[in-house]
Formats: sequence, structure tokens, C-alpha cells
Amino acid sequence: MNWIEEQGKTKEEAIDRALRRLGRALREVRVEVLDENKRLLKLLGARGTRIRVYYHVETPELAAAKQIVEKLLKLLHVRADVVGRMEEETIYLDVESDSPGLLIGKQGRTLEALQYIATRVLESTRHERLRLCLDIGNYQERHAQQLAGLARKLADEVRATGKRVTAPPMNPADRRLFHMALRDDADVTTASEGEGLLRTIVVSARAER
Amino acid sequence: MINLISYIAKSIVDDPEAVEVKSVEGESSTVIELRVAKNDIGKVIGKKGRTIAAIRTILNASRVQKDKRHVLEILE
Repeated sequence: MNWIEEQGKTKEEAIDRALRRLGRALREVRVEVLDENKRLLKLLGARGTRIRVYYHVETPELAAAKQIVEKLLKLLHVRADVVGRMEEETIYLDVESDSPGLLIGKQGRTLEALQYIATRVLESTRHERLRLCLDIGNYQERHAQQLAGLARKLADEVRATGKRVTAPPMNPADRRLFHMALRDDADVTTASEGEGLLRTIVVSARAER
Repeated sequence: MINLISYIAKSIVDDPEAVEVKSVEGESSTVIELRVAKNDIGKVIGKKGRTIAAIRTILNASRVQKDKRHVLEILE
């Protein structure tokens, strides 16, 4: 992460200047206030607030991914703002738009399709394998929390009754999140059973195994 | 819609010049015909049809389509 320092009469003014210098949006950066509005300094004519703004350097992969998603949304006639970051080998993009529901679709199916197509386009333009994680209005984040909540509920059920519990059918990505949620649980263990669309997770007590 | 399909197709095939997209208006549905080079058909369909399924999902979500159904067909 890189950073720049900026100052202004107020915190807002300083942030404004810094963002203009970087050409970034507020939610793309992290702001740290160094020293705020010291009255004495102000009287002496010094500028009020000094801040330090941390930002991610845009890698070529990230820039390309952003461009692709922006283009797809434009062709879908959706007004949207795309911000992104790169962590290790994964590109994370977050879309703020005027129609998140349309882009997410039933059970996130449209979002999944957009993420898949964007990844295909990205890989074929950059000729390398890349992992792209697309989120729209924090849907993925909320969805992951919901799954973890369900996982904990089923784990409690197993703890209380000692019996195995079968989770509802899920796609592979969701099953992975479910397994992860209970990975460190001392009392229960998870396993996938069945094939294809019928593959489900079974939660059972550890002692049973 | 044609622009969307054409952008996606041209971006994933080896021979973008050969990509042609036409829409044929029907009574209750619009058929979008996607023509690509023979060697690129597999690319557009994807493993287990995943790519074409994703394109269809996006097409169905499109707000341009109001009451009319959009059907996507691949031609050689």
C-alpha cells in the first residue's frame, strides 16, 4: 500500500484535495488523520488538518478487470461505479449501481454469470489464469455471513441432539464456504455426500467418526 | 443486446473477425443469432456449456428486454 500526505483547513478539505490528486473515490482509500485542527496552529496561519491517505496501486490486471466489468455493465445499460483491489493473486471488484437487484439475480445467479464471463474475457485478453471475485452492493459478503450463520445453527443442532444433520443443496462455492465456517469447530465435522445437483453437506458429531 | 453479445463473443474467441450477431424479431420472442468461426464454437459454449449458460443468464437479466423473451442461438 502506498500513501500520500495532504492538508487543508478542515479534514474534509484535506481529503478532497488528496482524492483529487490520486483520482480515486473515498471508498477506495483509507484515511488517517495526523493532527486535527489545532487552534494554535490555525492562529499562526498554519493549515488546520494533516492527513495521510493510503491507496492500493492499480496493477495492470486490476485495471483490465475493471475496464471489462465497466464495459459489460454499460452494455447492460446499468449506471455503475466499479472499485477494486488486488490481494495476493485475486482481483476483487465491487460494483455500486442503480440496479443491484437486476445484477445479482435470483440467488445470485446473474452475479455468478457476470463474474464467470468477466473472468473468461479477462483471461483471454491477458492470456493468463486469473481469479476474479465480483461483488455487487456487498451481496457476496452478506451471503457468506448468511451461510456461516446457517452452518453454526446446524452445528448447534448436532451438538444438542447428537444426530447427523443434512444441509440444503448448495453449489460448490457455497459448500466450500459452509465447510470453512465449521472447519475449526471442536464438536462437529462436515462432509459432502451425493453427486451432482444432489450433492449436500452432512454435519455430524466428531465422536461419531 | 446485440452489442453485449458481440462484445463478449469477440473477447473470448480466437477469431473476432468471424463473429457476427443478428437479431431476428419474432412474435413473442427475439432470437439472437451468434455466428462464430468453426474452431471457436467450443470457446463460446465452454466446458459443460458453462459459458453459453452464463451469457444466456446475463441476457435474461437485461432490462432492455421487457416482455419479450430473448433466445440465444449459436450458428456455424
